[in-house]
Amino acid sequence: MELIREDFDDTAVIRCLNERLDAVIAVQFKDRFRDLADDNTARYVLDMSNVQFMDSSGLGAVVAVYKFLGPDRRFDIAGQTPTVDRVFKLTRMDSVFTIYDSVETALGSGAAPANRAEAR
Amino acid sequence: MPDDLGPIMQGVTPQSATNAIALRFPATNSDVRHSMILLRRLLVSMGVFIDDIGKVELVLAEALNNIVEHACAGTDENMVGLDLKRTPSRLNCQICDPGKPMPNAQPPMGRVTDPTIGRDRLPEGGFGWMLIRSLSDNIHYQRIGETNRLTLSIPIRCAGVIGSRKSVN
Repeated sequence: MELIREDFDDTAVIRCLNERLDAVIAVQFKDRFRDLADDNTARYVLDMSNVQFMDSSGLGAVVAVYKFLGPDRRFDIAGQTPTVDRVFKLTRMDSVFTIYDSVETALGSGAAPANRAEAR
Repeated sequence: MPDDLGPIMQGVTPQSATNAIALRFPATNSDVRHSMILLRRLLVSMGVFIDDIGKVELVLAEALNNIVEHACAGTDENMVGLDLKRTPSRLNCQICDPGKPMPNAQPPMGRVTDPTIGRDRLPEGGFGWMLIRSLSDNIHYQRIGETNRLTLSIPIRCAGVIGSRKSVN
């Protein structure tokens, strides 16, 4: 499991370097994310631009870290690839998370999130 | 990290004719992963559109994960058989395993999550059958002796096949 953290002002970007977020690494993902998010940073952005495949175990792990952060810390997602986007949409989790098309967009002020930009 | 392709052939026995793929591998999460990586390559060589390969990979990974986690839980000695046949517009799939039968002798309907129920009540699992049913049809389950047999069909488009997007244009 390769997650790395980079900090930008009040935002921590957690980059997932693995190409597959699947049943093999779902538990490791949760544990590693919790280790990296062990502080009171106001906002976390999960960069998924390297993730070419996510199954329901991977999705469950993403939901778990969102719940772990609780109501006082914001959690957003950036850079979802087409197959990851499909899983979020089919399970309706795209309406739970704010999903940006890139980390740069997520960090920019006032830019429209990717999943809100289209007509819905 | 690039996916580890080194041990891909260990425990995975592929037999690929032009329109058919047969894989046999142990019922473990890592063998499922290796099989999906291999399957992706085989489907590319069959000319299946990349977007549809993503659907196939998701449906089969979900069905196989369920076998690893439920039917064959507690042992990694069970072998799973995956047989795929391509028609011009579909991939017909059969998955066989020697594990426990499905509850109620039928595949689950799949739960649809209400995304407005609030953070603390969001489920962290149970999305699998909802995804399978969203992307495939003709889903049938049979218990034959000591074997589970699941069959399903996934709509696909292939390069060079009449009726697919590439041929129309």
